[in-house]
Amino acid sequence: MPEKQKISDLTLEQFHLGELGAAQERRVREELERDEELRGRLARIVRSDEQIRADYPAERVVPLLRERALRGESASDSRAADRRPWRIPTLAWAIPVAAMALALLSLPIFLRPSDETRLKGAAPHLLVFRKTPTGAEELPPGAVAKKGDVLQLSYVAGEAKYGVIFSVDGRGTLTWHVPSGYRGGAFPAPALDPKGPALLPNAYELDDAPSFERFFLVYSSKPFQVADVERVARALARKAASAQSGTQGAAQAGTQAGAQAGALSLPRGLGQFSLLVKKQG
Amino acid sequence: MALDVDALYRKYGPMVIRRCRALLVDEEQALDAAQETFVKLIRYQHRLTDAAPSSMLYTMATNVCLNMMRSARRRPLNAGEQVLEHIASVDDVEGRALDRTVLDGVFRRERASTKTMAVMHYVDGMTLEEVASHVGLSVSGVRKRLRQLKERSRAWEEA
Repeated sequence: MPEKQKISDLTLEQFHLGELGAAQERRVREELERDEELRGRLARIVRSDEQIRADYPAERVVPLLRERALRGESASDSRAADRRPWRIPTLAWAIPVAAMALALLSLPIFLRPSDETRLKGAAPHLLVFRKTPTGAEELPPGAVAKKGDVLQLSYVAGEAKYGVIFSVDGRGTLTWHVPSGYRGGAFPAPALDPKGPALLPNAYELDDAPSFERFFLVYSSKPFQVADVERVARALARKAASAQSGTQGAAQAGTQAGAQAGALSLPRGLGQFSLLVKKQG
Repeated sequence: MALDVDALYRKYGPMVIRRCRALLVDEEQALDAAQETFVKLIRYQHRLTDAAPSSMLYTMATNVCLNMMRSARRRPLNAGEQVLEHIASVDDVEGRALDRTVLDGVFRRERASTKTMAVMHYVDGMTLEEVASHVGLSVSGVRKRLRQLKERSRAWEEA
């Protein structure tokens, strides 16, 4: 057992936080006056506070903690990618084919943004990569993909600080990638990684939904609620579903075109970027 | 009781991370434990009745670290760690239901983990009075729980 300290670490922390009762606070103050070692411990706490706040700021960490709580994970089942928010300011999310991600994440192509990416500069945007037998290829807007293709999303935050990523397919299915598992309700948009392109830790396998898959990044320089985007995203998903189930005709074609190319009617202050992948067959 | 996680993290995050670093030494494990502490805080916020967040979070962080040490079963690095490892590895009935029961206790201030109290007393060097004050029990209650833990520990060693 270590030598007993007159003032325990917790008591000193509580003194530092201003949470001690009057009598205890007086006792700690008196000890501080005569105990140089105690003053050193307090000074280390103050320095450590500054360092921890710089390394793990609330703006970055809290949204990710909330996301993890939402996903119902514990530390015992977290993987390296889930721990990353503490060290690297990136998003942590899970999508259907987690196992595919490792192969894609190791590909060097992700470190080499395309010419188009470079031209986009600081504007927030999404990048979509497709796994190939020998590596991966970046899909330009309107590229054709098919069921079973494994896609990896990435984003460049640019000037945006907060963002959500979702996709709508030709069947009208809305999938939330960031925050992963979002099911409605009050939830703040996660902080984006300012250093881009930022890879998301898991890949996404296309299912047999017809016609298209459209990926959206909705962003802002200020915090916003995911629910503000969800309403609009759901409207688009309904439009896609309606186009799929409707009878052939000009109105149906117009609805489908809107689902594939129309801009979202977002609340003021939110920007958007979308990338369409056409489905083969 | 509504929980302002952002404010709690800003104020108490550094303390929680320091606590986890002190117990686990390994930086990555400590960060995991700190993260887990706040995730549990978010998940259990509807049960939160505690008016002393620093004591509550410190206790939760201690508990999370003990659980991690127990599941990792890593080799202690020094004598102080051996005490900690020993406390963490005592297989008590309470320990098997630690996650659920202890958290309930921490949040309701009904029961705190005996092992957490043991760490506070034997590792942190807190007096019985200080431990009692932080976990919301009487001094005699803490003494009794620590005595029972020692007895279980002896039985475990002799088994």
